[in-house]
Amino acid sequence: MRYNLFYFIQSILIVVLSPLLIGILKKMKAILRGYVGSSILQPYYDLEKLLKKGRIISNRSSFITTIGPIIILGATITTAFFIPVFYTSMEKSIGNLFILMFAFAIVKIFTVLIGLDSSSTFGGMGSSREAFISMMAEPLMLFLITFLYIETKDFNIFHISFINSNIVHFKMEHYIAMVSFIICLLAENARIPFDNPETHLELTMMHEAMILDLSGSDLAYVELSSYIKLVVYLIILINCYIPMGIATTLTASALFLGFLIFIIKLLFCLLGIAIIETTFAKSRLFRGAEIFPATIALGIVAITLIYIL
Amino acid sequence: MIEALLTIILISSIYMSGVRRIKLLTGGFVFQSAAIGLIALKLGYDTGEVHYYVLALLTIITKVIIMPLIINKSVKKLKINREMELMVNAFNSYILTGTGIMIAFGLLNKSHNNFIKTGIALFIIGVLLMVARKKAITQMLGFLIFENGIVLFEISLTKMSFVIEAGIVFEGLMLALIMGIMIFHINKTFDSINTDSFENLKE
Repeated sequence: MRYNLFYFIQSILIVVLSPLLIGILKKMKAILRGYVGSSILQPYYDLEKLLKKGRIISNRSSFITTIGPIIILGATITTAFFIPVFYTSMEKSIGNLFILMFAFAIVKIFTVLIGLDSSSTFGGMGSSREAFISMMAEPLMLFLITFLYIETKDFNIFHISFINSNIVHFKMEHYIAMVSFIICLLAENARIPFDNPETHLELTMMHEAMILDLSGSDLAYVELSSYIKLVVYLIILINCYIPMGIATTLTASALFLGFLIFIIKLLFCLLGIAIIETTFAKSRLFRGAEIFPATIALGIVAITLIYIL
Repeated sequence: MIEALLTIILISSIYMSGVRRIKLLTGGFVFQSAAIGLIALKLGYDTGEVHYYVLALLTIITKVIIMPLIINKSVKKLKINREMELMVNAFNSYILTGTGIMIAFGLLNKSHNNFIKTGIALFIIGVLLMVARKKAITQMLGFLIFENGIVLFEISLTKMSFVIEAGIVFEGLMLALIMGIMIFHINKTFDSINTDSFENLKE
């Protein structure tokens, strides 16, 4: 097994640039709502400010709160190295979809444990909600992995995007699976129909409730990992479901074109999220959970269509 | 192009199978009918046959413009916005439609015609809405979805006489009109459009 150096460079780019992309998303939302909004570099300033502060840990909490944030950040950065960004090839390499899925499960379980650990009421509430939503999202993710396997006969995400980049006209089932992946993305990243990432109102928060007791550098790690997580999910969406134009050879022109097309697709996805977040309202917890059976039905239909034909 | 439009039809219909608010149901129906109209337009452009154009025009006029107007008018008159008590709840209806469509596609595995498959999916969802909902207006929407499935079914047949096409479309329109009036009378007689109250005998 060989690890291409270029994979490493493009993954480093994700880790470094993800706060910028979140800044762009926040700017887009501000413009859609009709106000000026903060600078697109604001997430960097926030992280810098948080990293300068010391860490204060409740004396009721155990070792989970001490080591949790750094494990979360480590697991998220690991996932960034398992995905193609704007270059892919058929070489044998790491990038199994199941490793990605379980790395995200590590992130999820440590966030839930941190919420429970500080023994505040908000933390327990947020943890139970998060566990409820991810219980629904997990089978959906398995359905989509099955779909990708049947479509390309491969579990490696680099190979999946290589094989799918040759297809020009996608079939019906591909679009259906794409729509259900978008809903899965919104659920896993605590985005609007399920959770509002901006609010600290006690009735609505889920992800924020769990990290309410963190401060200083711990909070910076968790925030950075949530930024990277959103960008990684978007890149999985782009490279598995709409990978046309991705660079498949290591020539300068192909790489440049791949990078340009990738940036355009990413900005388009961010604009889509911004539009969803400004037009939809956050649904109630159990009403939001009703979206999942619909999405699972879509997944069943997609798998049936691709398995039969 | 056609595949994307069929996807819109399938996704909107699966979404409609569990939604409670009648406004959202109507919106999904409009989306679905517009997609069917566009499919007919595209097929007409590809094959150059006139009857596809006529079908597209009829579908868009009746189902995208007139029927939503009738439905919205009767909803406003009845002051009923949502279906509160479902016989099969939203959770189970989504799973039921998913399994039903899976079985139907499994039985149709010899056919490579996506129109027939989507049509069958619409039949299943329409029948579910007719059987598992209590309000008469939702049942009417279920029938209209069923009827959209018939239109897709006959798009897939290459030769269909124009009279039958027009008949199908106008039948749907008449149904919407008659049901609009009938639902109003049901409401007047029973003080609700819940079809359960038909069991009570009245002088």
